[in-house]
Amino acid sequence: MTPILTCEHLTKTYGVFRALDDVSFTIEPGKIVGLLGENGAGKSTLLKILAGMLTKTSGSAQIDGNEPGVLTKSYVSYLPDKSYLQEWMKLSDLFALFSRFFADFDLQKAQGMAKDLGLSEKARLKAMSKGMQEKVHLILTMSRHAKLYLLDEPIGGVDPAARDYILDTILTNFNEDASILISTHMIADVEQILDEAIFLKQGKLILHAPVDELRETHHQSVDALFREVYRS
Amino acid sequence: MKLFNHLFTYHFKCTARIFLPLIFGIVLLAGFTKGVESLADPLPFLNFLYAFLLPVSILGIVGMFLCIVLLSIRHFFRNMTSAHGYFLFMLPVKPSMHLASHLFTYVIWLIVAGAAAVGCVFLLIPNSAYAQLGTILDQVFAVLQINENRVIIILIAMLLLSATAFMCTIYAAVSIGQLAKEKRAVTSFAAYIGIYMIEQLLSVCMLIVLFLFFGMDLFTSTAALSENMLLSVLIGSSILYVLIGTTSFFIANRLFSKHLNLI
Repeated sequence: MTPILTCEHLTKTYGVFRALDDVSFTIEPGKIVGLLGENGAGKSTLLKILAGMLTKTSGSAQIDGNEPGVLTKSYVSYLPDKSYLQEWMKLSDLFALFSRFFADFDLQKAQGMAKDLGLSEKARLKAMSKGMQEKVHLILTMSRHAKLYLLDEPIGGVDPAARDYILDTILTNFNEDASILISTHMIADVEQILDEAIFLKQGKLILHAPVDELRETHHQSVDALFREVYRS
Repeated sequence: MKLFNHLFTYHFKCTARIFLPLIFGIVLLAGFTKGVESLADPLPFLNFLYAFLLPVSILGIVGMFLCIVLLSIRHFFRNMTSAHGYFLFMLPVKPSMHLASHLFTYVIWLIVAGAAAVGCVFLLIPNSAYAQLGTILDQVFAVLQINENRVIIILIAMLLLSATAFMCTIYAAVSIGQLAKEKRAVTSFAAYIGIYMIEQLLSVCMLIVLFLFFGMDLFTSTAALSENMLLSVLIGSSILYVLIGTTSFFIANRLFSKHLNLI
């Protein structure tokens, strides 16, 4: 099967600082992969390069055979780790906006998810709590029928109930032929949904393996393994 | 084209929230000033209010243009370098289209504001001066020996080109500024100063060439302004603005395409 994502010797430097250092891995279609690491490990940098928000210094990244650019943006759905929408906009405005710009945006799905959450389409983003805004961002991202979803800290900064909802939304709404790359440092919460885990430390890839294999080999959860790896 | 229309609609809506009330307010103020002037005849005490409102209205017109320029710059800077940039750059659209849609929105607002300003100026002209206005303008153009229709058209085109070139320069400066990890606004400003100095140098060189072409002695004579010379300066300036604008747009497009650095 052709990998949906291939990174080879991907490097990003800011002067002398190496945010990503010779990172190489592949992701097959249909996988949910956790991009795990401490703060400053390079997770967001990697996702931004793949999403076309940053340009790499060297190496290559191919998404379904194409380098990140205009074409890949039509089938990659990216959730940044910060609020990026105009706060004066209503939910209906945001749905209309995404419908116009993204051919794969499923308006009915988005409206259904908003209804499940009890969100009025007439509500403005600025009138919503932080948790609600995070959910809106997630609805917009997961309502696209993308080949690759890049989620940067989707559960950071929200309460435990919201976290469960977000993870459930991710599981139930993503296209099974697609892949998801989730960056997080809250491993215990996401571990149960992951197929594979990638560990990044100081810009370097130190581990990439199926989660089941990690548990069998190390006889501990991925969360415990993470704490062990990053303690040393 | 479809995506460009959507982008333009998006930017227009984002900016219309501020610009439409601003322009409407200035027109309303001019209209109110006119009303006060008209009522000042039967009610002389209103002359004091009129004397206050007239300069305020004129300042308001100037301020309106200033606001449009500054807020357009702010809109672009936020869209291309801050968190709002994540939305724009996740769209399956080339950076050149982002630049073009911002620029088009800005030009449209300038034209709308320009039309509003012309309307306001006509409103603010004192009633007693209306009849004499045409005569005064004819005399001015006769003294200057210029065909007013041609000059006005080229002047308007030059002003628009100048404003567009200025904004393209801003885009180039911001594209340089976004390369910095911190203090992007300061870096953008410094880049703009650098680009502006180069532009001024080119402008001076162009003017010197034009004046030499017309055989004028720059330092001692005060030659009469001929229509051909004026047109040459206007056309020459327009060409220079097109060159500056195109080069700046190219630089901005190149940097946003190859060296995007959204933090």
